[in-house]
Amino acid sequence: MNGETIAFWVLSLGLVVSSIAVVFSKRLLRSAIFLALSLLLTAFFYISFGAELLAGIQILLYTGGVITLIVFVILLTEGIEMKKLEETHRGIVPALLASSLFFFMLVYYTWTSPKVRSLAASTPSSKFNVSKFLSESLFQEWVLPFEVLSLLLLAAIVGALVLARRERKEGET
Amino acid sequence: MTSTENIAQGIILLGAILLIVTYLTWLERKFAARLQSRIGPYWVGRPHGWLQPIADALKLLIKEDITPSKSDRFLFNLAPVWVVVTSLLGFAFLPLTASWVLVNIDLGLLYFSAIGSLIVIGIFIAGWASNNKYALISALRAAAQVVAYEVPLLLSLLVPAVFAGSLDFQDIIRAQDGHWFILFPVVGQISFLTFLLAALAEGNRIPFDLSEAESELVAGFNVEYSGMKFAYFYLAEYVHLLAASLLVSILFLGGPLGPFFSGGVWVAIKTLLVFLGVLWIRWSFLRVRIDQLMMLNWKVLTPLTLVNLLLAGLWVSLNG
Repeated sequence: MNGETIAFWVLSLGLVVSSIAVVFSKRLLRSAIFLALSLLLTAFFYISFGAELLAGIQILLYTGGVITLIVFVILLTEGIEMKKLEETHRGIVPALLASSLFFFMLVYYTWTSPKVRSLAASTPSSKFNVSKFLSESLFQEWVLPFEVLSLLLLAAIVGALVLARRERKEGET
Repeated sequence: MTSTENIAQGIILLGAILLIVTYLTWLERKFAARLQSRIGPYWVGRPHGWLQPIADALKLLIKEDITPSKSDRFLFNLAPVWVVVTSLLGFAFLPLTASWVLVNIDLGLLYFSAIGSLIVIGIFIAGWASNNKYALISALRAAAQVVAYEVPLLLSLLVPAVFAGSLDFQDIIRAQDGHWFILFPVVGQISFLTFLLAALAEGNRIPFDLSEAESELVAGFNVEYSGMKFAYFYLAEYVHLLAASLLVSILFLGGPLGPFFSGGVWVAIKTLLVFLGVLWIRWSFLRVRIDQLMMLNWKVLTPLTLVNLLLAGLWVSLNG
């Protein structure tokens, strides 16, 4: 057994345990922290597969950004106390069925799809500069869709702000 | 490089950083004392108290470790570890000489900033898991502050990357051969200053240490911690500060490049100077209010860094 295999199994175990902990934690903030941990472990997986850029962005955006936002939102709404969650696992059997069905679907597809197999068999050349390729296709070839998308996000932010402000005014008067 | 060699180098680097950080606390106390016309540590290791950091470390090691009974025990113990590990991880990507870096990838800057954004989660866990009102307020402040200051921090970090056309620290250093990025008219200085301010805010340093504010929050998120766990937070703060100083010296001050000779000595000198500058700021300014902090970020730093980044892009596209 070489180092890579050991790393794979250790990471897998950590990922499974932390993902289960996200669902079964009784405290909202604990779930958020375990989610952070599982996202971080996913980034380590990306590194072990040679996708360094994806791993960096995963840590920057998901573990650093989204989790901080989630934590922030938890604090701004409720669940700030040490109160324990109740009645969260009522639909456990159907949920388990649905998720395991989905899991086997994914496994079946990746196992049988010839496209995935050929991708897995090919080794990417180490000279390939991913960040350069990505930035060129984002900012040259697909610059218009990119800008339209950012405009859409800006509109969403402004819209959310307008909605939030109006609500507060009604509450005050 | 084999993996055994890599691990050995990592251990040596870790030991060196811990030793340096221990003595940085001594440096800070001496420096602060001189600024305030005092002598500072003197008796332990006469003269000039050079054994004081060792004595402090020993004291913290043998102190009683208290876990509050109503705290979230798992997260309470996780927080110090999280904070120290994430603040130390950044050093893996920072080049210490022109050629030596522990993990050599072409996305060093991206990785460094990604790791840097993880520290606040640890501070947050600490504040929440303590089950203490002051700690919780401090955690809230830390989260708000870091979410806000992440924006100008990354935007000002991007300016050197735009100048060098790369996220690789080695390329950034090479691009500064002859003209350091801080010497670029207007753009370089603005980017340097905004980065320094944002890094101070990100590292919870005075004048932005609102999550620690002794006078109102009795030290904030670490109020329930004692002994070695408290020392971990202290350690993480200094490690983070050291990493930020090192980053400034690499991104803006040319790193190992310098007159007469080039190499790791210049990195050390520049890092030390930036560190002393940060200490000078700390002992000269008062803490800002939370609304002033937010105003400075959203109304001044964020627009300024955006315009600055645009100017840097213009400069490169006109001259490149």
